[in-house]
Amino acid sequence: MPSKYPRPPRFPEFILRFFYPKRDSGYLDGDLREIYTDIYEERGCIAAACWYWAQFLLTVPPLIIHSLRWSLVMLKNYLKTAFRYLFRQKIFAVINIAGLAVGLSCCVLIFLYVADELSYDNFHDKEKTTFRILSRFHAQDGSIRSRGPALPAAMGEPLEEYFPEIQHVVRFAGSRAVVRHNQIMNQERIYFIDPGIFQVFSFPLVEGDPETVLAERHAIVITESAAAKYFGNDDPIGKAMTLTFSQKVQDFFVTGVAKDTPRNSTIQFQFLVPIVNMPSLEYDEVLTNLGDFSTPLYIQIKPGADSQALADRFPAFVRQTFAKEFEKWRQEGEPNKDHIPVSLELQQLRDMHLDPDSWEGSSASSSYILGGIALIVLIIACMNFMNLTIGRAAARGREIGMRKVIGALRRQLIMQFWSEALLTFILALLTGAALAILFLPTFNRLAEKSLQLGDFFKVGNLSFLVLLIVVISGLAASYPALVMSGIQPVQVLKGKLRIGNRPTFARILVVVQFALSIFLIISTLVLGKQVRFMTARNPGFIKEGLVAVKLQERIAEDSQKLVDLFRPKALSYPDVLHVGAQTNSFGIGWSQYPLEKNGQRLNVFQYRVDEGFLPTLGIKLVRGRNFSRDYASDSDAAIVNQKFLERLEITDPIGHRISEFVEGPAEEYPYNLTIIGVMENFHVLSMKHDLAPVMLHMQPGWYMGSMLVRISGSSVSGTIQHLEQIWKEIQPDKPFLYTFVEDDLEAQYNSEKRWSAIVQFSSIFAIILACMGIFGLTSLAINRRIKEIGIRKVLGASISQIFSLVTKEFLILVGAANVVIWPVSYFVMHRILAPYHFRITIGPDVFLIAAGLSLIVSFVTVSYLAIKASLFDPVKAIRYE
Amino acid sequence: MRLLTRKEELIMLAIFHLENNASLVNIRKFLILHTKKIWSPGNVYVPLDALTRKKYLNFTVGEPSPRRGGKAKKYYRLTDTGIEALEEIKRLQDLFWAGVLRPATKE
Repeated sequence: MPSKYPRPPRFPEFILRFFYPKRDSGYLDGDLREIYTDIYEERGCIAAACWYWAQFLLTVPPLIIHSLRWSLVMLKNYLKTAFRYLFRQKIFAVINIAGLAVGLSCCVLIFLYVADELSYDNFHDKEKTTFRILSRFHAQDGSIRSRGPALPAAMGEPLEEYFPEIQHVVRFAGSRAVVRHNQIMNQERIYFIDPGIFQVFSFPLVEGDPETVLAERHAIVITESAAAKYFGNDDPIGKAMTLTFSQKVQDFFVTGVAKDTPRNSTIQFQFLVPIVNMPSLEYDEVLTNLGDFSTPLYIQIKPGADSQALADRFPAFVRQTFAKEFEKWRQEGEPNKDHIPVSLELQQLRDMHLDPDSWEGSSASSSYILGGIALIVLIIACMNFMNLTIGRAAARGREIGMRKVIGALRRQLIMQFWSEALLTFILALLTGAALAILFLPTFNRLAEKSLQLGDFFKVGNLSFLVLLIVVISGLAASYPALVMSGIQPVQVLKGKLRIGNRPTFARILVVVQFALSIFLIISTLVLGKQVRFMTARNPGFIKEGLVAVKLQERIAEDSQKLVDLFRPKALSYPDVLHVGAQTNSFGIGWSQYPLEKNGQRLNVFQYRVDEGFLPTLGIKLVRGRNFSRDYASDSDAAIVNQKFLERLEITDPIGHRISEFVEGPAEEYPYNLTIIGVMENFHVLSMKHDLAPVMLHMQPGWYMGSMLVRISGSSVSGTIQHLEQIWKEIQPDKPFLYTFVEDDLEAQYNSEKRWSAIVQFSSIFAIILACMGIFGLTSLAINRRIKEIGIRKVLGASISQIFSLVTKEFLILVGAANVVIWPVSYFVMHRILAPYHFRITIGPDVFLIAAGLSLIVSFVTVSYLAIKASLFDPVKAIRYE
Repeated sequence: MRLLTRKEELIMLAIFHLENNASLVNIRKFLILHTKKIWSPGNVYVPLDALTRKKYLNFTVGEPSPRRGGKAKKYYRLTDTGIEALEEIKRLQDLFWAGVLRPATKE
């Protein structure tokens, strides 16, 4: 039953309750209500409500304004004192603000990095119902041997048949083709794609209808940038593009133009053609061969369908669909009859980017490492802030004492110091943002990102910055604020102030700061040394002056013919010394063949080469002879390296067939090959890996992917131009694509180089910050001890004695930091280098260099102040009293 | 000398007249009735609170009633100090007013 008495409007009642004096709040509430009821009964509901609202409006806003005005007055005062202190103590202000700015800019950049990493693939409208399927290959014992987004393109139709809840299957079969329109010709990455792509993914089309754009067999969809590249300002719709795949040439007609794929998309494409073309352009069975695991595959399920239930039916689906395929594998040597070697996995789109098995993904560990570095730099900066603020407290003791005597509450003092800290932090953030913008291009290069200025100003990022400021200033300012607000006014005014004389805490902070900086310095030295070691190490062949040219022929005879045409023409040019060919150039690709001996599996790198290969690379033969066209039998010959002999324990290889050393069908490749020579070992992979067994052969059925040209002489570009001319004569419809092998090899170490540069930058920041810190602390210490120094000088202390008095303490601290951090860095560096097969030994030199560097830098910093102190006129210091 | 303001004086006299019924609401009603001015609840409460703290008033807590949303009310009463203060101000006023007005002529 509702109360028979009316109720006043809820909102003002609720708010008013906050403003009643505590002791009488219940009575006043009741009084107001009674008056309300009276008015209600006399003059009705509206009058009563008006009266009640009027009470509210007439009291509450003035109260609020009043209290705000007074807090603003206090804030103004706090800010004024804060600014005064900043200006009066310029050195500290600069150290604090600059230090924090560097720390914050690191944080900002790395936050942008992490935010970008997390933003991958989250722009698809239908991401809830769209999934990627991953395949997992299992070993006999069920453990996962490999995992990845590779599936047979032939699995598309069985999937749709087996799972009625699947609405679309989208396969992304990548290939390469030379794309040509009129005079413009380039090698491009082409995707054979299911026509549903634009319905499943949110890739907007500028022209064309998402449902029908890829319906026609010879339709092609290109991106805006591709359209600009090939058609300039012309309308590309309906125009023909000629795509030359390795075997076939086909004209496609542009039916749609898509927006460029977003930067934060795992799926990147420029040219899309319907997948129905794949059999005729790639190989005939590509859409029926269930053994070809090479195609990323996405599915979209119908709205409301349960993805978990679908994933649960994968094993049954695999067993049914791949039954024949597995039978074939068993015949080829999978011994266990019941073993199901393949399983499938469903993955959400947003998980793709950080999946370590993704092809185009990145690893979450980069985010962690970068975050760790940002944290180190920020911690050092915050420690400076705390140290200096507390150190300065001595000078402010009188102000704090006075404020307390006048009646400031402890809470108000904490607020004051906190708002001062906030001011410093805001100034630091502004400087830091400027620094971050300045360093953005460098950071982009180091972190392999293309972050833009606009990313700073997204709502999420700005709110993060505000949060960062509040949290960090809260943490870094709370300790000084608590310590300083706890000062007893009596002690201050009696001159017995003990604050700021707490060297233990400050000393610990200095040791931590330097320890972190030294750790970064040691990491820089070790990583740099390792990178130099790997790039300088002889790969076993002469890498200088070696040019790799892409042959772009998938048919074995054609590739051999091309080399045979090219070679005599090139060799007629005096600066070309040798021409050879091989399957893949170093640093670009490789293939392995597993050989078995005594149940042991040995993966051997196999290269189809021609007779020019060994002389071009300058690899020496230890025994036997090189390939020669004069011997017809050389098509079944092999040259192996010393590692091959060593691993298979062969002593007398020449003239023997490989089948004599390992188990396998004697008539088939590679067991049929006869070893005709033994060459020296060379590095196929980067120095991360051990030297591997290699066999070279000249089997005519194998195509060669690249041609190696050894050039000499000073005019490299002239020679390259000459080679390009020859190429154009014999291969006019394919572009001349070349790289320098030396660059390719260096590129293997790009990530190491990147990390080494990142660590180098951060160690420079860290050491500068740490130095700023001890500079500030030393000057505080000198100020505190100025009388002592004066008296010492009067009593006859020499300049050098004063100098050592000031510097000694800090040098001891830096020394201690070194000793503390050495074992830690040794351990960490050891772990980091562990995966490298060829690695430097971490000798004492890096530690000594780091120690020397940190001691020298801190010594130079401190000695400036020490010299000033020791030359100080003692009269001035003592006269004060 | 315990000087009272005019507002305090009026409120205390209102309490005197209301006898046992001197709650904030009734005091306010009484004041509005006789002064013909709007008195806001706050305008009444603040002097009441101050006078209570000066020990010129004390109060008893009444029963809560549904009319007041289940909240109790305070009944104020003059203390002896309060009455002394009133007397003092009256005497002072009489002293000060003496001779200012012409004596009222009787009809």
